[in-house]
Amino acid sequence: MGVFNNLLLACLLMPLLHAYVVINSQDYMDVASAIFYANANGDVNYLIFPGDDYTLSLMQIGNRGSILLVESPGKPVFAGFRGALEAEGNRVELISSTGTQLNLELARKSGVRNFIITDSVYGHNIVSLVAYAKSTHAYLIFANKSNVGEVASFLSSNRPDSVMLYGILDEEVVNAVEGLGVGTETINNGDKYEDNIEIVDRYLSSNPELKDVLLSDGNVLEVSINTGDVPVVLVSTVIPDSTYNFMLENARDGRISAATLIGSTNLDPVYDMTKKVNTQLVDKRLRVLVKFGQGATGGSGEVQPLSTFPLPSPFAAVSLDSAAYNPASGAFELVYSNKGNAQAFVKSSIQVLLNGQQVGTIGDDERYAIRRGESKGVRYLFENPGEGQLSINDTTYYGVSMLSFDKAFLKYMDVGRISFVDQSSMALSDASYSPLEDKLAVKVRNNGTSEVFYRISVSYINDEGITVYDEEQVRNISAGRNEILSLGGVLKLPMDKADKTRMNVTAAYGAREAFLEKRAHADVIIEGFPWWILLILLMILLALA
Amino acid sequence: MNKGLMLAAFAVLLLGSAFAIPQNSSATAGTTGNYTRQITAAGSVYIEGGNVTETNVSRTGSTEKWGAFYGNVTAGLTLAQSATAAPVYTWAWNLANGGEVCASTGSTFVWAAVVPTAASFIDALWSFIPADVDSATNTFTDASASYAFAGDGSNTTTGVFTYDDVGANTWETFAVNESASPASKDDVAFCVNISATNNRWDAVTGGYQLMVATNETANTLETYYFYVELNA
Repeated sequence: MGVFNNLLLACLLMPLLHAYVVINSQDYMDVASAIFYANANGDVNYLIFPGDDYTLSLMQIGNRGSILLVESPGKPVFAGFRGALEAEGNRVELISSTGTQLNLELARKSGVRNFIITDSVYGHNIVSLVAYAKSTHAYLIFANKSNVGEVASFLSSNRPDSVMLYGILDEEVVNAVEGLGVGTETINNGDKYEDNIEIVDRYLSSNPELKDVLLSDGNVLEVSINTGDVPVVLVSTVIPDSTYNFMLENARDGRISAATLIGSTNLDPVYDMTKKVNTQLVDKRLRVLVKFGQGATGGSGEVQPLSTFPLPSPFAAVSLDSAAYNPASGAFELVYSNKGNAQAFVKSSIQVLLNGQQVGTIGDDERYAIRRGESKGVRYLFENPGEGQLSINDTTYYGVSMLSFDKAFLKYMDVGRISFVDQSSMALSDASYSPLEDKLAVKVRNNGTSEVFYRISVSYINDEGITVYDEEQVRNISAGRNEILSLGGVLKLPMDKADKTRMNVTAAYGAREAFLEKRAHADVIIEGFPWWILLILLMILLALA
Repeated sequence: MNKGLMLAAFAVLLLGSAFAIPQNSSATAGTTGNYTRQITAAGSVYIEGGNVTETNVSRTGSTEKWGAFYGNVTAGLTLAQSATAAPVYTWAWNLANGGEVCASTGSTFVWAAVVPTAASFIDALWSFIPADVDSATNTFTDASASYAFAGDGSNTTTGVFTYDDVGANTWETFAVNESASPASKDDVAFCVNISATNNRWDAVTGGYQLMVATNETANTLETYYFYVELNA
């Protein structure tokens, strides 16, 4: 009977066991999800690249027995591929889903307990993480503020062993994951090269037998990257000092003996780096090869370009939208916006001109961040600029890296004098939080005579320390209006911590969306566990008995 | 912005081609194709395939165990404002600087610990019968083919000379493993030293010409990935 049970179990599990994952999608998130799924489970992944030949792909796949086909419902590379695979004698399980939905579906299916969370906009993070994720049996989850609820819910119900937050993430994501109470670690140096070096260093430390790395700009996936057998060091047209030093030190220490550049893009800086590294080495040399093409014997025999799959690149698009001098505050008030798809780091230097003559310089000592889609007001104190026509000459540097700028603009603008005193007034009251529902409710009241813009943040403190949730969204409320604001699924306060936690809610507000400089606070009453429900249930049970 | 920023640009040209190797002169050539393919163009760096002669040879008189690739390698280090701007100065990487071109079915060949291999390994991995006249054992007959990747001293492995335009042993294909005990075809690479002076089979001087093992089962193909090490 025991043998029969085991056979039955094996038969039931058979369709679920795959050693070969075929990826048929033109969506990079689908492709990345399936690659990380396969690697985390020890399966082989076969990516159909855009432009691949249908017949050639079928020949290469052949009969693998059992295949998991991950296929985009709307944008597969090949249509009708399931039938073609079955005609080759394969048993095919089809997953037809896409985007973040597929990402979490494969996370559930993988059964793994280690997760890495990154923002899908940063395509180079996918390249940086493939090998590390494979070596740690981890799966990659894409998260941003728009799907943070689903991600937090998934993690909360799956109780992971480890979660790594990698790269720049929306604050909502960081707060939600850190609030789950699972062990998290973070790699975020604000720069893709620094993050990359840190993850490759970790990989090499835990896989000291491997002395090879791949070199890539992180803009595409290629089969050697997809296998996850060798970590990728990011390079570019200008190789950062930190990357050069990393290669030099590891070559000197014998941790890296060889590197393979994927494709000929960036061959020039890599060649230059190799020469410089080898000049510094005394008794050894770094070996660098360029993987430049592919060809099939038995076919035409032509040497073809490498098959690659493009990944998205983050970009910032910062502009100066308005500038005014406010005599009431004795400051220039400038409003910048970021219309890019990624967070921007910004630093400005601004010449102040009076009747065309420079009378001073204002600007930033440190770079600051503007989130994607955000308008941000910046105030520069400047007392008594004098009478006459004011203008500014603004040189602003910005980029998606915290450490280096890759873009800049120069803007000359006449500046009006607008005396503005923010007389907005709002209050928060009647704040309560239900740990059972993970739901916060707070009454918002606009006490002033004009519209108010505000952004909510919630913090709580207990024996685990302080947890902060900053809402990215800027809300507005009309004059004289009261509203009940409800936030659900983001605070993640464990029920058993409820009676030992202090919580408060804060609104940063103002009459102008870009200048939310006033604050309103309220303490939050945390509801205890509704024991009376248990009591009623107990009484019902007793009555039934 | 610093308009005077100058970029060092390195250009490589690899003209790659392939053909099946006729075993005797009675083999008849089939179609001849000609193409020019821009493999990639990023900055001033480019690799392109060039005039390819595809030779379709009838089963009789040819081997299906082996295929071959050949091409040119040229490179230059330039000082220029941009990829498209005229260079201020150019340092020519030339063929005399040396290096190797390698081909492997391994998409992620590990180059850190390349070791010599033996013809018997190749026979075993490609399921060639060692007694066949065109087996690896009977083809890679030079047991002391020399090679030297960066970081290694000179080493020897198994090799075979392929012919130049007058049939002289000229280009030595040597085989190496990425580990001491190769477990699959992906662990083997076929390489040749880049040469500035050798004539290829097509009478062109310089470049590379190498031979690779192929799957001799009908209607199968094998994907090779190409690597080049330019001595820096």
